[in-house]
Amino acid sequence: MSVVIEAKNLTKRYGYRDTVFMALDGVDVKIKKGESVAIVGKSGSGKSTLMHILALMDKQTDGELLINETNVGGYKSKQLDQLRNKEFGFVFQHFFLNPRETVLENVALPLKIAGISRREAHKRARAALKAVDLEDKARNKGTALSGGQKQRACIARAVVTDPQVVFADEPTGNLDSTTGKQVEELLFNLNKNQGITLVIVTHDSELAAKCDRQIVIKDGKILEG
Amino acid sequence: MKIFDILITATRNLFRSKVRTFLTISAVFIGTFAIALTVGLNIGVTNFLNQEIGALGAEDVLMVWKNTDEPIPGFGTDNDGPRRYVENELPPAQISQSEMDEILNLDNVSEVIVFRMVSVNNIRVENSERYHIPLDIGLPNMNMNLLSGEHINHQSENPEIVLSYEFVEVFGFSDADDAIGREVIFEVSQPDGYTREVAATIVGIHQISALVMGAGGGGAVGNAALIDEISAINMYGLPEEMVDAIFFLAVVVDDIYEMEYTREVLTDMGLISQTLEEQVIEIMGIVNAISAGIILFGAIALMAALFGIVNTLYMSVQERTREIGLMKALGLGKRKIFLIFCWEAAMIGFFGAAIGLLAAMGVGSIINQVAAETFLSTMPGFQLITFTLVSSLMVILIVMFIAFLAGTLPAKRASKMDPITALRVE
Ligand SMILES: Nc1ncnc2c1ncn2[C@@H]1O[C@H](COP(=O)(O)OP(=O)(O)OP(=O)(O)O)[C@@H](O)[C@H]1O
Ligand SMILES: [Mg+2]
Repeated sequence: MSVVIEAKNLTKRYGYRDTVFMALDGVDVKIKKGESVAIVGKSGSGKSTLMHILALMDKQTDGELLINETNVGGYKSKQLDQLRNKEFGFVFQHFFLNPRETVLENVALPLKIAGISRREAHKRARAALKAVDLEDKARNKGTALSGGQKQRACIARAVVTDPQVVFADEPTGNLDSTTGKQVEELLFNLNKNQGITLVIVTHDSELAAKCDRQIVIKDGKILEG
Repeated sequence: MKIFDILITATRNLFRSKVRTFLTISAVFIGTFAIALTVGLNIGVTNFLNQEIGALGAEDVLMVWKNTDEPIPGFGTDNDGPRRYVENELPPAQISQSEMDEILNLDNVSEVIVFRMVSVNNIRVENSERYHIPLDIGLPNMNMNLLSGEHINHQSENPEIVLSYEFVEVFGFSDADDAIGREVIFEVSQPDGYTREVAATIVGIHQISALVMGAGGGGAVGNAALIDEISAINMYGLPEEMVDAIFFLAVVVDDIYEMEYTREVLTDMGLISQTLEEQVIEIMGIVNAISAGIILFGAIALMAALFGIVNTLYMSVQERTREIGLMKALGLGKRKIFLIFCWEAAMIGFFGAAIGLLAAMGVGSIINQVAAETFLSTMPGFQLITFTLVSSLMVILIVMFIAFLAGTLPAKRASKMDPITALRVE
């Protein structure tokens, strides 16, 4: 199976001289197409930092990053933006739905950013909402949804562009166990039915156990995975 | 993101914090209102003057007077304090008879008319009421917009006038044609208080605006014979050197293409010459000065508005940190984020400018109406405040552009925002 994301000897350093801090310290990661991978570890171990770098939202201090077997080290920010928009979807712990816009607009946002026409964007957003069983909430404002509904809308937003990889940082962290289960199920269905690669950052060992593989990180270093 | 979506996003953002947006727009509104109104005034006056200058004719006439610091009686005072009277000395700023002959002998000069200011008490025809009227000497070849008859002839020995159309009715003539050849009588006062009567023949009926060279709307212009006769009465009993004094001449040239050369000769003779057009343009100078004052006020108001825009957008960037972070995380480029905020600023500019312009148009039309009924009632066709499509668009575009520039500061901050920091939840 092809490798979607490969990181070689990643480091991420914060601060200078006396205050220098290695958030990541020589991390190697390989994520294959269609896998579901959990990144686990204690708080402050560097999980989010790793995910941000793998997802092109942050830049490593050292090391190489290959997306679809191409080194993106020399990419300009515009190329990185486009790659992220097209190939990656995001689900955040705190949802980040725009409360003033309708759910439909929120879900259509990545398509609009991609420069797709409003009509087409809305059409595809509606289909994505249907897939998470929220089509009747399309016209509601983001604030009108419950936590579980919000996260489902976020999943719709994450997959509306047909990405290769969906990154989820503590996707169930703000949900009760029942709604959390629903969200997990949705994510794993995407993985099974559509072959979307999942990268999930989580504290939840139960959720982590459901993934094909776990990357355990401690003090910026990989313990196993 | 498509430009259209950027514009929509930016415009929607405007309506989030309605009160703040409204206040910012108000400041732009005030500045634009003042500027638009002034631009309208300037266009109105310029249009009117151009129209008038075009209609004046008399392109071949030069007004001529002495180039001297000495005061012309009745035209300003001596800055050097009281002057001692010297027996038999010519009054200052006077053009002498020999100078006048010299001018008449110039190659390009066909006619020289002494330009005297006269005053008459009233005008009447036989058995009519008496009416006030301003009377001036007619400029040769001036376009009088004659409804009937012809222009006065300065060579004629007989007193002649061209009379304003308004008098046709009050004097009981059946129409303009009927007035031609009729006799009018002016009552003229001597300095000693006695009054005399001077008769003149109506040779033309005109309809022109008040702006035309002192020939007041609703007035009359006379030929040299009439004006000389009335001037003599006005000055009856005064010292001879005052009566004969010449201060202004109207000089008619043969060939207007040689006029510049003639003017140089006149300048060398120590005389100032001015065309009718230049005199009207002088009025324009005053209008421009007033305009500059109001525009300065508007510009200051706009400056204040700019700070308002910068401030508003900084707050807006602050409030929308998370949203900006999200859009960046989802792949929106720096440049487009920058554009969203700049466009938001431009929209504030647009709304402020558009409302300011509309208000200026509304107030302008009220002013025009009031003006037409009061101080401009003698000048039909003078629309004091005029808006053209081009000027209106220019005002809006310029204000939008300035607002856009003001928006670049906060927009820069937004575009530089780091998505991870922005998305961090405190
Ligand atoms: N901008 C920054 N400047 C300095 N240190 C930072 C910065 N961002 C993160 N860190 C540090 O890097 C380390 C790893 O942070 P990271 O957010 O990746 O942890 P995490 O594993 O996601 O923790 P959590 O489970 O609490 O989300 C932490 O010790 C954090 O303090
Ligand atoms: Mg984290």
